[in-house]
Amino acid sequence: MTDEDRKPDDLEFYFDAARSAAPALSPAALDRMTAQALAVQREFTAPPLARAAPRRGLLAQLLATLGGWPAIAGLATAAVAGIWIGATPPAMLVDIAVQVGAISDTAEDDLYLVDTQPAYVLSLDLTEGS
Amino acid sequence: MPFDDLTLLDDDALLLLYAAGDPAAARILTERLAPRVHAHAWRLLGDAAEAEDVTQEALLRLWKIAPAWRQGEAKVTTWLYRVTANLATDRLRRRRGRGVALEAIPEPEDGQPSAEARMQEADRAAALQEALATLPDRQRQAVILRHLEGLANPDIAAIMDLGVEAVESLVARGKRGLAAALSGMKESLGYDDD
Repeated sequence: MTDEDRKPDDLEFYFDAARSAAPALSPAALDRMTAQALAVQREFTAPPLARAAPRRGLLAQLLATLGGWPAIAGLATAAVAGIWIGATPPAMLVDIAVQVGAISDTAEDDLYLVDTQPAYVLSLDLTEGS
Repeated sequence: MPFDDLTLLDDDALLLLYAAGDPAAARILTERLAPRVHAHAWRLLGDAAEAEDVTQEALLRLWKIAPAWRQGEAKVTTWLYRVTANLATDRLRRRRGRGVALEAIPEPEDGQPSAEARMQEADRAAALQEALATLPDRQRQAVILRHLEGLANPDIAAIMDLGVEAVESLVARGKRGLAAALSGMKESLGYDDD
């Protein structure tokens, strides 16, 4: 439909005019909006490490170095087991210890276990008895 | 992919690339969408500065939703037209609340010396903008989407969250309202029926 075909009050006249009438966005505004798009994009594409991590205390750092709570539990178990075995060693362990020479079972070795100051014990007895 | 090839992609694909961190997609989408959103906001609001604010806000919402965007579920432009219309409506309500109502828009005066000059296209557009401002919000939105943005009724229905028949009704009533408003300005615009 050409202009000649239309009545002067035909709305299409006005619509045609209005379609090209919207003010253009300024280059500065377009630049600003592009910068905004890039800024938002950087926010969600940044690697997680780049985000601010909460600062941990000394104890927490030590715990992390050792391997966290599971490692602490393992250490505690090993310590308790060590004390237990030391206090009441099973016979098998004693045999092994004798074999490797960790403890003595000979008279020669027993020399090291001779009390070189038996009088000290006596003097203690005397003191206690007086 | 070279920059030129990206421009061949549709908005949906570009938004996926944007969400994946492609800066070229950010630039192309802004250059493609910002002028359309701005033009639509200006037609709804009739104020270039406010239209620019609305454009910036609508695009900001698009960028933020980009990582969660589900391809194929909605058209990017449909979503943007809807957000733009909502933002514009909020501003129009605030404007009315402040008392800067439609009456603030200067009415054309009959018989003014520049009546001949108003035959110019820019003045016709200005007259339409004035007439659009007299319509109820939903009618104005429907008429703008149909006749100025050139969208099909099903697209408008999706944007306005209405059925197609309701859109047709809104457009028809809007055009009747426009014709009535413009007929009042016709003489001052210099149009004759001959």
